[in-house]
Amino acid sequence: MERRATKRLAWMPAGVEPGQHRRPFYTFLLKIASRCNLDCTYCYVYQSADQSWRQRPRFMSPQVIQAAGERIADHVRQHQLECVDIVFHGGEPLLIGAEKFDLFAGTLRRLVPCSVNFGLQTNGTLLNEFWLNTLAEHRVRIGISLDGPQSVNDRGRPYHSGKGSFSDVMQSVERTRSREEWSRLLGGFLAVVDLQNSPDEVYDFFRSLGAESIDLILPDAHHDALPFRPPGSDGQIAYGRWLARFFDRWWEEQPDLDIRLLNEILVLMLGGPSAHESIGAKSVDLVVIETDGEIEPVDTLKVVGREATKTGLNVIHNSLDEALDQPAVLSRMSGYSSLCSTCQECSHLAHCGGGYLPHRYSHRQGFQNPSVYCHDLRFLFDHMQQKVGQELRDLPRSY
Amino acid sequence: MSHKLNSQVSDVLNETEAVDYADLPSIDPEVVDNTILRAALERVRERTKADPHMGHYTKHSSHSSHSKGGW
Repeated sequence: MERRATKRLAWMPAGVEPGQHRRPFYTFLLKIASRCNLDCTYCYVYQSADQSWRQRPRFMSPQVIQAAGERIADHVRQHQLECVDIVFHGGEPLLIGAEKFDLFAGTLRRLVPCSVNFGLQTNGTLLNEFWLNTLAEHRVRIGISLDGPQSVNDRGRPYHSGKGSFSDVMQSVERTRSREEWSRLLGGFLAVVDLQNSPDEVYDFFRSLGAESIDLILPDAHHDALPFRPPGSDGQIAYGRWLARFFDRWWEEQPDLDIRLLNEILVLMLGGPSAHESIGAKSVDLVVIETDGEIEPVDTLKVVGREATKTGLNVIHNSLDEALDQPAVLSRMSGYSSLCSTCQECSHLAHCGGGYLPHRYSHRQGFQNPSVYCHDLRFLFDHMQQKVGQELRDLPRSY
Repeated sequence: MSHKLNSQVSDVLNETEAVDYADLPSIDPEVVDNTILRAALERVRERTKADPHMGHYTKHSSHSSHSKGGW
């Protein structure tokens, strides 16, 4: 019964068989903690339609991490993979404690028979010296969630008490950057776009911070839970305008700063494949393992509801190859053919790839819709295309 | 769900000119002054040569293990 849960949704256009696109996973996202010490206003876990976190163990157990490691190892051997990414995630993953993390990371390194890149995404509030030592010892690269300067960050990322998290995060950032190996430890910052914040203010903040890499995320939303937009006709492209302004500052100043979303759009515009799951239709070979061992296709699908996340599979009982048969997984490996006709006929298809999967959802049509940010993305693509075109037009070609 | 744009937004979306990217592969990144564009062109070349699977990149929105540098 449970395994049929995700099949009721329209993941693919009618009549399209996704089986031919089956391919191995390369990225394994481990939810080692299901709770968080922050109460972010936009969180896709705690503020979402899928409240399954309430029933899950607070932390992944040694038994589950052992099973997860063995399943990943089987998958690596089965598909002869040479290198995989394992990302520790939550909730807030640091809540698990550095000693337990040390055990988990050691278990995975021992079990998985190929090169492993460890990553960890944290809210940054608990990143003390003991944690940094542990993360450095296991060669873990961390991403810190931070939306911008204090007034910006604390509006969206407070503690459960209501107190802002900015000061604690900044102390952790300074602590990390004071270490000799900081550039290997710190992968970058992750910021959620909030229209109440000025793109200039957010851009200036990250520049003054000396950030080398940031990513911008559009708020999790879909056609039955629309993102905030200001009233008036311009509201339809408000996120596009926000991102276009951010792009302009970056494009004009040309700092040594990787802005992942914008960089990936540039790559798509220049004919390359995207390495970002929210843009471009290139295969997403990622799987999520929850604290109780349940296998999920995409964690942010929680904004859609339990019917989109429940596979009925668990690493205790099931292989990761079984997850490859899930329609939610296969649809993300099917490129353009998984998209609705509106997207497939769009002039920006190659730049967009339908946008991020959860953003396409409606109760009526499943995922057979354009993104809820379609107009924003089209505005941004047109804007960037014009800038890129101006730059390229007079360049010499080497035939 | 409607994807009809009002006229004001339509004008905004349609005002840009099309760019012909057909001969992009022939551009040498080294001749590009804009450092962001140069890096993007180099990234396209690297990915075109690389194994076509996406295992070299962490596609998840997590910003932990994909960026330049690392261990």
